[in-house]
Formats: sequence, structure tokens, C-alpha cells
Amino acid sequence: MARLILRRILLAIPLLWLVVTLTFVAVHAVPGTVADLIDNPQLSPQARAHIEQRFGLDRPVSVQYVRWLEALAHGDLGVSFLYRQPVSRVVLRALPPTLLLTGTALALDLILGILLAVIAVARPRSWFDRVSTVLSLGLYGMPSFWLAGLAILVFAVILGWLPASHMHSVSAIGASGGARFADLLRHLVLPAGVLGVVGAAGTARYLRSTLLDIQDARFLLAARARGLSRRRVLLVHALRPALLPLVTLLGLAIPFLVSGSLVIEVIFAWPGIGRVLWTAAWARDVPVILAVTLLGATAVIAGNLVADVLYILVDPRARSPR
Amino acid sequence: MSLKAAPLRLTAGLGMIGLIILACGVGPWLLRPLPGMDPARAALLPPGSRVTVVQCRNGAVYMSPRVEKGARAIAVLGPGNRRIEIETAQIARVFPHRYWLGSDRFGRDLLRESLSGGRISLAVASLALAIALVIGGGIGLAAATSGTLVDTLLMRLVDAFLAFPILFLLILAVALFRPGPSTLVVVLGLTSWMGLARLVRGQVLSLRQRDFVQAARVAGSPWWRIWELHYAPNLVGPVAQDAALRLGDLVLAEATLSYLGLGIPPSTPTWGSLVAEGHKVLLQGWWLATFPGIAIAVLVIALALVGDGLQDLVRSAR
Repeated sequence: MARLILRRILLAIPLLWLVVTLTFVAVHAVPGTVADLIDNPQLSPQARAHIEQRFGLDRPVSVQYVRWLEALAHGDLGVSFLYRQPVSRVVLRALPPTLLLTGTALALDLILGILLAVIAVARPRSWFDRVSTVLSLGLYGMPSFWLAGLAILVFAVILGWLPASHMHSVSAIGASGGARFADLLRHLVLPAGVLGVVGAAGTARYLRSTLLDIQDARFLLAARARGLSRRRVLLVHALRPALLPLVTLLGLAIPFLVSGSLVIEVIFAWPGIGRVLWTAAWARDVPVILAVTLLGATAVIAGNLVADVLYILVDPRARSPR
Repeated sequence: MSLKAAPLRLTAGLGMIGLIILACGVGPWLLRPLPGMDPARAALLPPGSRVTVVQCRNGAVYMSPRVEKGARAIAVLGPGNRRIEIETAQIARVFPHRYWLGSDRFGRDLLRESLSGGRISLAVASLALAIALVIGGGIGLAAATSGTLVDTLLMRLVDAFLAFPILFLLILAVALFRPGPSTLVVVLGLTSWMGLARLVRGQVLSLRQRDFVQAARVAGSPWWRIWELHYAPNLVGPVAQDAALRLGDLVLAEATLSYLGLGIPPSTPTWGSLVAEGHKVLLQGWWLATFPGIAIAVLVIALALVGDGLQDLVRSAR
């Protein structure tokens, strides 16, 4: 096990290098720099050169690349062109909001998804099964940005129950801790709800088909033959093996947790990683683009590793080589 | 469940997709484009609105509440809500129009816009899928049929591509390169072949161990015959199932990018950009975001039904 983890971590290093290098090449393959975005016809060539010199953009790309890698090896991600702050600070500031949003959404996704699937399978062809199948299929097809718009229209505009965007109200800035927390929760409901419900539809669809798949398995027949109740057979004997693939999915959710949902963050003006990348991509803020890509790729690789390790831990069959 | 339900889901899904393709293919051609309407009068009409369009010889376009036959002049509402009279001789064309799904901010017909937007959405997603099928299938086959070294290298390549945060990559690519249909097709295609490569490789490797393939090899069948008779038919089902679900993902991805303004330039409507336009006037015209969104959902659901149906077919064939 330890060897597996070590091997995978060692393999991850060239992979990460490949990803950031490809991103670096892609960013620099496009003509133009951050200076082009200062859309001022009076920007003199001298001032322009000054800007480019200040950000090190006057050097050849190869030099910039080597410098960037060198700094990265020292744990230095550089300085953001846009925020004029260390990139690490920009990214670390955006991480907690994203984790809060995606963590809540993921919890909602799993709880709702498992619940929908289990109740549907418990009574096949009942009205609940039908409603839940149609509902999860419908939600699965809906684009999340569209659902977000609908949620804003209904809950924020027509009913006026919840705020439509941002993480805090202006009025809550000076409020007490409890009031600020309540304010934060109210802002969290719509974005996390949309993300979680869309995710739950996929989880429910997936779990339902896995549960139905193993309905005829011999170990379930044996459990039923032993006279165990339907509920026990479903919740203990069928659900456990059916949840195994979900463990893998959970590991794969780590990149989602970190990178968040860019679209939802943009729509709800949620100050997370997705929005940081969004702004950086438009502003040609190269250090931030590279840092967020690096973060995303690390999360994908770590997620894969966690998924595999979890799988081995949870499923005894995966432990011994076949 | 249900061997019986499989064909039903499959036919329902295929039927829905067929209807969408038919509507998007023929619709924009059947619905005449409206002449440039006066946005002050024709903008944001709710679904089902009827108008009578009066087009004059000098190019001006008015909307009339009613046109009486045989009259020498008709009254229309001109700029600033003033009633003006137009003599019959000046009129080039008078035709009734019904905005079945309402009109947008510029007085365009949402139904027509949605149908022609669907063309682009369908075309972009299908072409991207074609690229993904070629690359994924090719790499999967190459990995499965080559030696260990090539196999390992190719699979590491798949890992590297999977390690890219896909949506980030899409946004980067489209933000950095010129947005447009071809950029979108290439970027979407290049980021969605990895699953197919893994699927094809896995299927070929597992088929190779199956008795009927072993038997064919022992019997001395040439390799192309084994491919034709054993590999190809057994690959079609799983690949088609995967492709159907993937096409749905691609439709959603295209819509998301267009929604963010990264896909097709807004002058050419697609379902995603229509929803984005609709969100700008969400309060004045709920229908503008609603109907294109429903169109996306229906297409994705239809593709999911096809995918599920195919999965059941593959399973029952075993």
C-alpha cells in the first residue's frame, strides 16, 4: 500500500510538470500580453515597455519559463499582474469560499442521491420510483446555469426569500458573529442547492442502476433465503456493494471540491477559485492562470489516488491481486 | 431491470432526437425570417402573441393591429406611438405573424432563433464527438494491440489529459484563442476522448480472453476476420452507449461555454447564448431563457434515454 502511494506520488510529478508546461505554452502561444488590456491609446511605447519589464514580460518566453519553474521549485508562485499580490495569497483567499460551496453541495448531492435511489429501488414501479426516476432524469438534463437562473427568478426575485448573489450582505458587515453566519448561510442556499440538486440527479441515476443490477446477485438471493427482511437486504446487503463505485466517485469529487463550479460561481458572484480563474483568463494574468491550473491538476491526481486507496480499504476484493 | 423497457426507452429517446433534428433542420427554413422589426413595438412579446407585419416599399416595417381589405390606407402605430396612415400603394407586403415562443429584445422570433441555434449546438456537439471517437478509438485500439511499452505510454498520456482540469482548459483555450465554432469543436473534441480510449482498450483486452475469440484464433482465422466477426460487433454496443451519454455531456459543455460568452459569438444564436441573453432580461421576459433551456434539457434527456436503452440491450445480449 505504502509503495503504491509512493509510486503514484512520484509519477504525479512529471504529470504535473507536463500539465503546467502545456498550459504555459498555450498561454504564451497567443500574441499579446497583459499590457494590451490597458486599453489606452495614449499608452506610450515607453510606458508599455515599462509595464512589460515590470512583469518580466520583455524577456524571451524560454527565460520566463525557466524563471517560473525555478521560483515554483522554491514554492513561489509569483505575483499576480491583476491584484499586485502574491498569487498564493490570491488563491488561498479564494479557496475557503469554494470549499464551503462545493462541500455543502457534495453533502447534499450524496444524501439526496442515495435517498432518492434507495427509496426508488425499495418499491420498484411504485409511484415514488416513477416520480424519482423522471425527476432525476429531468434534473440530469438541465443545464446548471439554466437551473441557477430559474432559482434566482423564483426564490430571489418573485418570492424574495433568498439573496441572489455574493457571499455576504453589505448590511451584515458590522453585525455580530451569529447574524453574519446566518447571513452567510442564506447566501449559500441557492448556489449550493443548485449544484447539489444537479449532482444528486446523477448520483441517484447511477446508484439506482447499480442497485437494480445486483438485484439478482446470488449473495442477495442467499440473504433473502435466510429470511432477512426486505429492508435489511436492501440497506445492508445490496447498498454496501452498490456504494463501492460511489467511493471512487467521492475521490474523484476532490477536484470538484477544489476547483468548484466555475459557472455557478460566476452566476452567483461567489468569490471562489472558479471566479479567480475566470477573471485571470480574461486579464491574461499568467501567474494566476498557471497557479490555478496547477492546483486543479494536483487535485485531479490526488483525487485519483485517494479514490484508489479508499477502494482498496473499503473493498476487500481489491486487496489481493486476482 | 426490464428487457422489455429497453426498446421502449431506446425508441423514445431516438424518436425525440429525430424530432429535434427534424425541427432544427427544417424549421428555420420554413419559418420566414422577419424583416427588421421596430424593437420599440415588437420587443419582448410574450409567447403566443399575434402581430400583423406591414412592410413598406421604402423598407420601413410597422406592426398593425388589424388590416382591413380593400381600404385605401391602413393605420399603423409609428415611432413614438403615433398613429400614422399608410396608403395601400406604398405597402409591399402584409403578413400575419405569430410569436409562438415570444420575441426577444430586438423583436426576433424566439422559435426561429431557438431552432437555428439548435442546428449549431447539434453540429458542434456531433463534430466534437466525431473527433473524440476517432482519437479515443484510435488510441484505445493502438494501446490494446501494441506491446507493453506503447500501451503504458499511451495510457500515461490518457492520465495526463485526464489530469487537466477540463473546464479550466476549455475556458483557457476559448479565452485565449479566437472564439468560434471551429475552436469550440476542436477544444471539446480534444478534451473528451480519454474515456473512450479507456473503454475501447478495456473491451478489446477483455474480449481477447473470451472463449470465442480464443477459439477463433486457435482455429486459425486471420486477424481481420476475428476483428470483423468478434471484436467489432462486441465493441459497437458499449461504444455507442458511451457515445450517446458523451454527446449529452458535449451538448451541455457547448451550452455552458456559449452561456459564459466563450463559445460562438453572440451574433449567431445557440441554445447556451440564448439562455444567457434571456438571463439579461429575466424579469421582463421569462420565456427567453426558459425555452432554449428546455430544448437543451430535452436533447440531453433523449440522449440519456438512448444511452440507458443501449446499456440494457448490451446487458441482455450477454
